[in-house]
Amino acid sequence: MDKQGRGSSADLLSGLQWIYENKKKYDIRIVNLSVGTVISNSFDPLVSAVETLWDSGVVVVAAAGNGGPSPGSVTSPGTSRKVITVDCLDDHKKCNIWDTEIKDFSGRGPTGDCIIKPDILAPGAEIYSCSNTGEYIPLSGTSMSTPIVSGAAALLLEKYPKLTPNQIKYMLKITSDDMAYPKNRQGWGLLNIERLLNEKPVYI
Amino acid sequence: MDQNSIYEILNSFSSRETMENDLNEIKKLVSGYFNKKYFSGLGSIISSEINRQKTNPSDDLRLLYAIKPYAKNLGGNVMDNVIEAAAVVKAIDNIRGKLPNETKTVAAAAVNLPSVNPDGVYDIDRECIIKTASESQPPQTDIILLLALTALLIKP
Repeated sequence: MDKQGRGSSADLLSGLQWIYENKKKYDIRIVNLSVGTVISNSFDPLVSAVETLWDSGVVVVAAAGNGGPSPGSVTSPGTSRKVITVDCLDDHKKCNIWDTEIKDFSGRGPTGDCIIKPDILAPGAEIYSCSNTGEYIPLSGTSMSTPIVSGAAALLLEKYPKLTPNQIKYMLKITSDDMAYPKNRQGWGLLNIERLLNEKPVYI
Repeated sequence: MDQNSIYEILNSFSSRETMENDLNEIKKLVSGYFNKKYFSGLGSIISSEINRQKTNPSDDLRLLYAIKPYAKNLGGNVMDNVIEAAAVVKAIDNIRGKLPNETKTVAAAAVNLPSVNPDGVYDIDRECIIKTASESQPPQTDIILLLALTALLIKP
């Protein structure tokens, strides 16, 4: 990623490859992907890569992207049916994203394969995060929502280390709070970490 | 049971050209069934149990091992495949018996859990599926095909 936080799909694929090759060595259990791009081809190498990681036991949490609110605006690799795709709960607020004031920006499903996306919501407006100047500043976007869900997954894995990615995703589903938004806006609802950690593990 | 009867039984295994293929297919089907139905590492549990059956065999398996030296004239891996198949069956029986009731209930119910699909946990947008199906049909749409697709997607 460059100083503006932009990068190439090729570099992302290389990074995912490195994670796949080193996941056992460094006990990598979760990958947070606060990145996204639009893939117009029917074959999406990013989706293929994250699904390979998922199938190998690594939880992948991806942003839905900030290209909403039109249907089908979720970015890759958040379009993968397997991974956990996260949208911003509070994008009704006007937020500064890439120096543009916008609202209702969260990517919406369904995907090209008619999969409902996102899977879950988390706060994403004015979240205190790191800047490239070494300070903490408020940032907005689905990139901010995604690591909140990754952190929740990490807490769950700390408690139940044997859970698989699919089991974690299912537990996120059954413990989220239905916000009564359309499915392709909220998925299963808002992340509820307390319920998640108090829920008995479900070994589907 | 005399030795001729044993040979007759064993010959029924070797006389079928596809016996080895059948046994391999059974192993593949059994493994595939469990891999498909359960997301956890049940396959590795089964493999461990199969190995345990072979190293600490039940009476049935001990009998097969005892017969094996007398069946050399059958050639190939016929007896090995018979022993392997018996070990698989025994392993699955044992694992089923060891499963706690709660796990059995969860495992049995998993196939009916909403959002749980063989290839992941997700929901399908039914309206999108129907719209896509209708758009891919020629103008003279097959109404029966659409109705059948809708009926499949609509859950009670």
